[in-house]
This record gives sequence, C-alpha cells and structure tokens, in this order.
Amino acid sequence: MAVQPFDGVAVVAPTTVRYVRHSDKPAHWWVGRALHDVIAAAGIAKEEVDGLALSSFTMGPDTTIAMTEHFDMAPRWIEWLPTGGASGVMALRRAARAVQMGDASVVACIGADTANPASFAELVRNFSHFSDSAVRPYGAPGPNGMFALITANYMARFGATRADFGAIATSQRANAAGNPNALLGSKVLNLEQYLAAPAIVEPLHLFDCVMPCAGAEAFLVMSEERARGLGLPHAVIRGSIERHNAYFDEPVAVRAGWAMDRDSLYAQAGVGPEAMDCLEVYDDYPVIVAMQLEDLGFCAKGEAAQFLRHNSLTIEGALPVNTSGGQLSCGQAGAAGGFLPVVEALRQITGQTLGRRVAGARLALASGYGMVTYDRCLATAAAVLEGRA
Amino acid sequence: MTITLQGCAQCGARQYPPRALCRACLADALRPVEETGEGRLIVSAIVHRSLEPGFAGDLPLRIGTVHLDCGLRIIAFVDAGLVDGQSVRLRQEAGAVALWHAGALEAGV
Repeated sequence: MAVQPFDGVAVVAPTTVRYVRHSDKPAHWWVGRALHDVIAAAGIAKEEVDGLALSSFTMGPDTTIAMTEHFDMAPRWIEWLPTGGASGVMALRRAARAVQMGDASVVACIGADTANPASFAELVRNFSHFSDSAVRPYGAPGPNGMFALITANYMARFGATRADFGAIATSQRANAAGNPNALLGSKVLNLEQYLAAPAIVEPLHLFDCVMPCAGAEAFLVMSEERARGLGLPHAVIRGSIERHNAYFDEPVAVRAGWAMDRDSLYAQAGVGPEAMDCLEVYDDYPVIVAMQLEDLGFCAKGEAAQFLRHNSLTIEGALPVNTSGGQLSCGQAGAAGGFLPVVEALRQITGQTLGRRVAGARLALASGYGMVTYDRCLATAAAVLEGRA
Repeated sequence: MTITLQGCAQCGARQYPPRALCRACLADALRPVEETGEGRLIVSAIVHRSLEPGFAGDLPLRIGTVHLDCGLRIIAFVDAGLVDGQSVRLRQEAGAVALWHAGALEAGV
C-alpha cells in the first residue's frame, strides 16, 4: 500500500525558547515554556491542545504523561519520542496522522532539554547498553569518537578534506549572523580558524563539534481548516519518510536511511530535490550534513566534497542549508536539536524567521538523524514542507 | 590464538556487542564461539578529549573500527604503527570489561 498523503494537515507556530549555555532549571521548565510560547504564538488556549508529543533527554524519569499532570492538561492523545535528532520529524509525522484520523485536533510537538556542566557526560554514560559496554571503555570519547571514525572513513574513501567540512561549518556560521538564538552567531568563523582549532578526536576538531546547551523548539499540528480559521501562516506536508537501523551491515556508516527512502519522499512530494528553496538538515557533525546532501539526492554518493567546492550553503547561495546556523552555531539543546530542522524550515517558508530569510522561500526539506547507540545514528527521517500564506 | 565471541547454535550467526538473543533468528541458543580474531582495521581516530576525567592520564588514545573476517565490527584500541586499511588481529585483554586491542597479524599474543 502506498504512503497515504498528509492532506488537510497544517504545521504552525514555529517556536524557540531562547537557548542558554547552562541552565539551573529542569527540563520540565523548558517544556512548559515551549508550550506557553507555542500556544501564545497560535493564539489558542491550553485547553485546546488535545495532543502532546514530547522529546527530551533530561526529563527522566518523567515522560510525556507526567507533563500532562505538571501542566494541568487532559489530552486524548500523547506521544513520547526518545529518538533525539530524528524526534522532530517523527513527532510531525505522528501528529499529522493523529489529526488526519481525528485522534487529536491540536497537537503540541516539543523538543526540550536542560543542560549543566555535568549533564552531557552523564547523558552519554547512560545512553545505551551497547555504547556503555563497547564504546565507553575506549577512552569515553562519546559521540565524538564514533563520528571521528565515520569522518575519517569518509575522507579516506571519497577524498574529502578538512577544508570541505570547514566549508559547511563556516557557511552555517555565516547563516547564523542575525539569529539572536544562535549562541555562537556573533562569533565569526573563517576557514583559517576552523583548520587551526584544537583536536577533539582526530580528525574532528573543535568546530566540527556542537556545543551542548539548554533550550526548546516547538510547533503545533492541526487541520488546515483550523489554521486558516485562526489566520495563521502555515505549512503543509508534501511528503515524509522515516527509517531505522538502515544498512546495519556496513562496517562504517557511509550512508543512512534517507538513501533507502528518498525516492518515496520525492514521489510523495511530486517534486525533486532541485525544487527545494532551503534544506534544514541535522548537523551533529559536518560529515552528516555531507551525507544528507548525498542521501537526500542533492549530489551522488561520495560527491559532497565536490558539491561543496562549487556550491555555497549560505542563505544567499543556490542551496541555502541550515539557515539558522544549525546546531553548529546555535548550540545543541539536546532533543530540541532534533526539532530545529522542522522549526527552521517552518520559519523560512512562512516568513517567521529569527534571523535572515531565504527570499521567497516556499518549499523546504527538513531532515533528522538520531541515536548513536553504538557506532552510528540509527534513526533517520525527513519531510518536505510547503508554506501557505 | 583465538578470540571468544557470542554465537548462535541454531543459525550460526555471530554477534557483537553481546545481545540477549540471536540478532538474526532470535533463538535463545547463544553460546561462546572461538574465532581467529583476524580482520581489517578499516579506520582509526585519535582521542584527545574524553568525557570522563578518569581517562585524562591515558590521552591521547588511538581507537579504531576492526571489521572481522567473520563479518562483525568491533571498536578497539589500536596498536602504534598500524595503518588504516591493513590486516590486523584482535586480542582480548582480560578484566572486568574485556577490552579489545588491534595488533599486527604476526604479533599474536
């Protein structure tokens, strides 16, 4: 059976709770603030939210159900998405189906996390059984270690250089200028600085790695009819895909689930990658941006370096990528990082950007990648969104 | 010198990291199996920053992905002098957590 279209569903109210490097507030505060802000943006009451989809790493032992009690809600549909970098697109997909089927009318989708100096190491320490038993004993390199291996393998196999990855980091930093939510947005990053940065896990250096922080991202999913009634600029979902543990036999990951499903994505959307006005991808490391350029069909496998040598990813360029600056410039607010691609895509195509807008942006691709339980992330998801005034 | 891995008595699959059941056929028939430990060092990386202070004195550390001839991949410490892409032999350092080390083929233990 073919994937059913996401007809009649609107995505509205892109919301960002301003990131901070460290926070003494619990994740619950960030969830609650995001809920407060997202309903305010839509002009609806809390009681109108009858669906709640959450993602967080630092809310434990609580999950979505506990938040209903924290905030006096009685939703008829909830979802919990412990899938980090893929959770934003996954929340979008699930919420859209719930609205289509009438299981919920208004779904608040929220990714939120707190952060303190010890929380990231603790999160990594308790991330998965495999990483605890088979990665941590090797110097506790965390995800930096696994993505250093993926990066080194990619460089050796396809001839990419550090400067190619530097082009990603520096163009995203240029995009962050003007975005008040980008914690590193006011810090200029040029290729010389990128190349001279201290090594973290070679070949990764400082500016290949995201800075953990606290923050939240959110949006609402409702019917198009309701969005129009509320007078809200909104986006519709032209197509969407999801895949987990793709290509699990590859000794080192050179591709991920998008490659398996992109034909379906573009068939659903009725347009190809060339039609996208901007691309909002998961950027835990530059090599993963390169991988998405390939696996989502913007260039062939192994050709991202060539692509980057001839195409700028800046807002003014032919293919603007990570127009908010991405996590590499905003910081990685835990699971909110997995919502950032959806929220920024929604901002761009509905004219509600925090920073600069891609002129006339109407079609955007948002992509997620999450959960490095051993030596790669397992979850991939993507959606094509179209803005409607 | 051989290494010990988890294998399935029903379908013959090998697996790493260890699991509660066979990853392929889901049988509850796991047992230790001996393998040669021979494989290829696909890629390595140098850890300069650890998330845990306890490792500070050991840095930098070289780690790598070894693709065993039996098809499994294992993250291991990498001996000095090895080159990415070369054939290696894994050895297991006994301890509370058995640590893997990749060494030259002829080295053995």
